[in-house]
Amino acid sequence: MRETERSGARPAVGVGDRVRVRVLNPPGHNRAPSYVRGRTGVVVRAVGDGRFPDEAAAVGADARREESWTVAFAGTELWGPDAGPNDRVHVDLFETYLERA
Amino acid sequence: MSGSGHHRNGELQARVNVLLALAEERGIVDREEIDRRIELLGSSVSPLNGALMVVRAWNDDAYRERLLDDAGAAAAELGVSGGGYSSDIRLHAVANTPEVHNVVVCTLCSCYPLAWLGPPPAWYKSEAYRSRVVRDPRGVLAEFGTTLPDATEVRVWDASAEARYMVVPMAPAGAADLSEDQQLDLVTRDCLIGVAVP
Repeated sequence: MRETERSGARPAVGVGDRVRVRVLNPPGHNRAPSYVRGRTGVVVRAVGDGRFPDEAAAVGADARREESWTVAFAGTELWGPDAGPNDRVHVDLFETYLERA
Repeated sequence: MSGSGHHRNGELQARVNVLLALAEERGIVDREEIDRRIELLGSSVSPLNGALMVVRAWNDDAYRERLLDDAGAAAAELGVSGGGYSSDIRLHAVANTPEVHNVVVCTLCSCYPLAWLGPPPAWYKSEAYRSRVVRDPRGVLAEFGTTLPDATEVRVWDASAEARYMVVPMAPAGAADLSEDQQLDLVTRDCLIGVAVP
């Protein structure tokens, strides 16, 4: 992933924040499931840091480290009105994939 | 939910064999090290580790708190190391309550707390489970024989980064009257994934 593709305003997020998953389709590896891209949820947990997978897939242990967060999405946000009203999908996402909503 | 992807798994196995042979030939991997790890996973880790943690949590509120706060450390207390993963991979336990039921998946591949609980069942890796449980968790749970009240919140945990999830099921009615061995028998691998309840 080139530097320019992840530049721009990307404030750090925290538990309780509403966030949107950025619509990114970089060439190569990526750990943001497509079904949450562009969707809005709430950060519920700090997962901790790890090697940013988009880079790690290319350069291994030299990849930069980055925080990831558990984001809770309502089923209806992901699947529309036919989703179970009490369904929540929690997805762990690296900070690069997120922006404040 | 079983039987899907057998053909593709066969193709995958063939690709893995070719890659492994090439990597071995070029000195990138050591066959003995791979065999040692497979042996380790086959012998020393199993769903029983998760059952030990859950049963301890049922019987000891302080342990339950530690388990939900830092599952890796709580596992280590019981002699379950999770060794074999890089330290980036952390175990996280999520607890069922009367209001909330949890179920675990990895939609992108098949991430699973393997170093603590042993290998996942074949269906966990199937495209059917991975694609359907996020879209219709209640429907998938019902196929496993687990029917939840409409008011129960279902939380699906998609392990897409560095965390590996295990579910802490609720103790069933009457569990307190059972011996610890009997309690352990109630906590199956499916309960630790969240598709079944004790």
